[in-house]
Amino acid sequence: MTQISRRAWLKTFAGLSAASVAQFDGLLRSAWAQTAPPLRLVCLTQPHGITSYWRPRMPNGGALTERGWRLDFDPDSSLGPLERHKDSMVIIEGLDFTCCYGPGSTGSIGHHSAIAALTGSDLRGPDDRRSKTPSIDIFLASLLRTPPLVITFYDALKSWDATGEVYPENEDMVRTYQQLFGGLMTTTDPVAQAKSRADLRVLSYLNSDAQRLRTRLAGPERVKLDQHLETLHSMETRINRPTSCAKPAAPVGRGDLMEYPLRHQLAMQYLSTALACGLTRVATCHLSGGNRMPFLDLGGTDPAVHNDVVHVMQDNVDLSIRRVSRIHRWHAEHVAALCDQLKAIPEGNGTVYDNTIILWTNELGNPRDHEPWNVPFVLLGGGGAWQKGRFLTYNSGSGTSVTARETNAHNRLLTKVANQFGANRTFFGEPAFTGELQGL
Amino acid sequence: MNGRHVALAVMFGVGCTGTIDGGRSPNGEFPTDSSPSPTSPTGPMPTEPTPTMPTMPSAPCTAVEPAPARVIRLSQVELGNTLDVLYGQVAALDVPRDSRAFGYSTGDQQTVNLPFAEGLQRTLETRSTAVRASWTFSSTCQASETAARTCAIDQLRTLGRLAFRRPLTASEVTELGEIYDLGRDTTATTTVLARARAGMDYALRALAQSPQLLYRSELGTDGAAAGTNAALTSSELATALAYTLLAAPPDAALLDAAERGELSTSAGRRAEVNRLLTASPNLFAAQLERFVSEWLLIDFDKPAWTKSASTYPSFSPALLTAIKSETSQQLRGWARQPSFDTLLTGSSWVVGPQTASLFGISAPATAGSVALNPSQRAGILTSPAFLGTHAHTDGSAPVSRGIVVLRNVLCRSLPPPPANVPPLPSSSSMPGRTTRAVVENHLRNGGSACQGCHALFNPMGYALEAYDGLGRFRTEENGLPVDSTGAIVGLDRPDQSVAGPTELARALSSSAEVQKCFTKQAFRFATGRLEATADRCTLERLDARFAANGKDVAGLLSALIEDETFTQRKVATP
Repeated sequence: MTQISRRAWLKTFAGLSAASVAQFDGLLRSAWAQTAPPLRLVCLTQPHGITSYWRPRMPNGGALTERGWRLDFDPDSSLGPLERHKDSMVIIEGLDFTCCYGPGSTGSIGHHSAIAALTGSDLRGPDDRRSKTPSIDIFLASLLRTPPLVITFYDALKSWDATGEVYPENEDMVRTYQQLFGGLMTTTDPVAQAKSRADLRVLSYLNSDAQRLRTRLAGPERVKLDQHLETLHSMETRINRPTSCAKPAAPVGRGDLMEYPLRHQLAMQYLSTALACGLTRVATCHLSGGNRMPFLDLGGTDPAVHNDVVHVMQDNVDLSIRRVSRIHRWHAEHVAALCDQLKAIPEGNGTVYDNTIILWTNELGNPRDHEPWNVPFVLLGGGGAWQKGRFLTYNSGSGTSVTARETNAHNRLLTKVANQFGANRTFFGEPAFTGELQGL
Repeated sequence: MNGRHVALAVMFGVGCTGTIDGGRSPNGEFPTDSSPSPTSPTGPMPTEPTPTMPTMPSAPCTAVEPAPARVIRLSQVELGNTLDVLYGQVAALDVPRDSRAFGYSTGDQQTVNLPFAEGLQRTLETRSTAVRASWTFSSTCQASETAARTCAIDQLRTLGRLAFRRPLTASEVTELGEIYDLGRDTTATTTVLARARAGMDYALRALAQSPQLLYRSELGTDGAAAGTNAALTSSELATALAYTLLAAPPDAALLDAAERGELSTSAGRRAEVNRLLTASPNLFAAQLERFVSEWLLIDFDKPAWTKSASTYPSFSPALLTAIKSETSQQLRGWARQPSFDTLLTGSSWVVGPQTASLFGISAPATAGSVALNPSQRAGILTSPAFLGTHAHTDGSAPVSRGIVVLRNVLCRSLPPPPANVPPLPSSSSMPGRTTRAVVENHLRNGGSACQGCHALFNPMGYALEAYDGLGRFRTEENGLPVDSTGAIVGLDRPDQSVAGPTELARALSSSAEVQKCFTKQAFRFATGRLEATADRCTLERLDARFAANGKDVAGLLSALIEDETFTQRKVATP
């Protein structure tokens, strides 16, 4: 049985600076029963694309190579905060959301191509705004029979279920806290135990009911009930969750009024705690600091991020590029904090970070032009059967033809990640893009 | 994503023709495979929909072509009305917003995912806490645990029939009894009454979370062969009728009529529709309000309603509340005699003390219906609710307004916008120009690639330039005269120029194509799905009924319920 020491646990979170960040009220004694730590997936997405400050740079200023680069080469470098984690990173450039403009697509580009980020597919049609396929987080949560955790701070980036339905948005950290930690029992109160028994009996009844209905359905209608049954299983899992798992102190105030920096800080904390406690194995956060980021120096007087910073970026004006990169860097700081937290939780002979794959991407590539090609991907964590500490480029350089871009379809990366969890897929999302990403 | 950018995002569409129905394939599905997209020097451009007219088969409408068998998860409104039957109106729902993949919250694609299920659980806990003390058990019932259990089961049978829209089966009663027994132990209080209420709480939670309640079943009689047309059961008919008309579960009288087999005939269903319209006018009015709001994408939670204080110093949260409330009153009042023409061209509107200035009239003491200047106001498209939603925070939005009219009023499709569209400069940042001039200048800068698409909808949006971002009528903007001349392009008659917004509204109202689009939208709303080729005959019958009954919207919904396709579903292969 994996043990996480109280000292290590408290040490992990005691260093967090914001006053509102929770302090832990207990000891995580035995979070999970299995002998081998489970592999977990974290999906992170963000808006606004990337700039030249996103690419790593060589210390000597030479041509970028697969290894030996730095991320903190400039105060405005996008990935600078992740310098301390670079040995476990794979940075990938040159992949495209080909599924959104290639054959068979609905043609969702610009912000609309964000649907491709985690699904590898497009909308079904202009009047049928379901995804053709599920996103990798919901797909794997279903495969692993673990309750998905989805936090959404940006309305263009979403997760999608097996029916093609959008997974409900959730940006309220007070609610998220209640859902994740509110029901954790820390008592042997007989009334609480009676409630648990009654709750489980209700779920058993609902499960039988759903099973009966499912047998009468076929095709996509049956998938609806499959989804329902998974939900019931997730609810049962939450009732049976570890009772000794430490939970963060409850957040203060109204979740819908919380500032974005605090929301993200709490999101990363809840996410890492949920993974460590075994409350889920698949967690997603669609990051975004909002359309006003007064906590960053973006020039002007409280500019609108989208219109006044991103869309007006000029390739020959360094300051305009730096401003966009600062937005990316702000997101990177939260990603780095998540890595720190996961690394600080011992598990087996290592840490929870060692048994996690973090998949981090964007809604688009070029900020100004909102193109769905050259979309950035970053892999973090110790999980995944690939060599770490590398920069990979898949940009063929041939540019513009659909054929050339087909080779850069990001689907193959999603397939590679899905197969780390035993999915045994030959493709993920759009069926045309078969195989795993080569060279990873 | 910023609304101003989205509004202009279609600007660079290539060779846009605005196809009707988006070029559907004969089976009603959208094409999923096509030739590669064209390319441009900067990369592949989006695939343009094939500019074809719908290829409707011309076979006579003789055979009944029912929709596939299915289950439909209750929408927020439907679930709320259903829980009201079990608990009373004691608390708001705490579940995620309905998605609108097909345009309406009634869509049958919705699922029971974890956030929904947990939100429902929270809702039930809240409602139970609020009403638990009112669950009465007579002194006889409180005489013993056994007596209390018998009384509880009796109550559960009654509530269960309303929740499941049919009598509970014996095994369901047994299971609910077992849950009741376990629920009794969840209170520390040991009195018979407290324990019985705790047991009822859990049994009701089981009812309220059951798939039997959460889904409207349209499967027909169990055992029907795959590929055949199965008749809906009496319970399913009552359920479909009640939720279509009222977004609420069937009442006892409707269930009784269903069990007597009266809903199997068109006349029987018409009789029940008429009874329910009289018995539950408020529910019907709310249902029509929901339809119209969703049809025209009126949404007071949209960021566009965070109006700029510098542009609109008179705007306040209280004003928004008043606009919202009076729009609701207007639509619910209209629903008493829901004429399509009145909806699109009526010049009376509910106006209150706070909103009077928006309409340029003296403030009344209380909100009420006011006859407005018919040269300034004509129907819902000229209302602050529509115009303020389809606006920027600091100005009007002719492109957005035009697109909504094109897509939702004319049922015409547009190709997705290209990616590299620069945002439209704010008109307030360009003194000396009107919004229209800013847009037209922006279009010119975009070159000819922009013109194809924008020619289809900008002229309709320009006609609505007679209103600012709050919906106030105006003849000047930035000290310059407003040009609100426009046109309707590509209707069932030659392009029609309009001198302004009221002429636009009246032209739309009198168009047969617009009426057919409205029928289609009502079909989507009422059935919770997109129309397929097999629905051609149904739509033709609805069009005919709608035209024949003076474009009465209640009659349109009744026609759908009376239609023979309402009672049958095609059974799928398991």
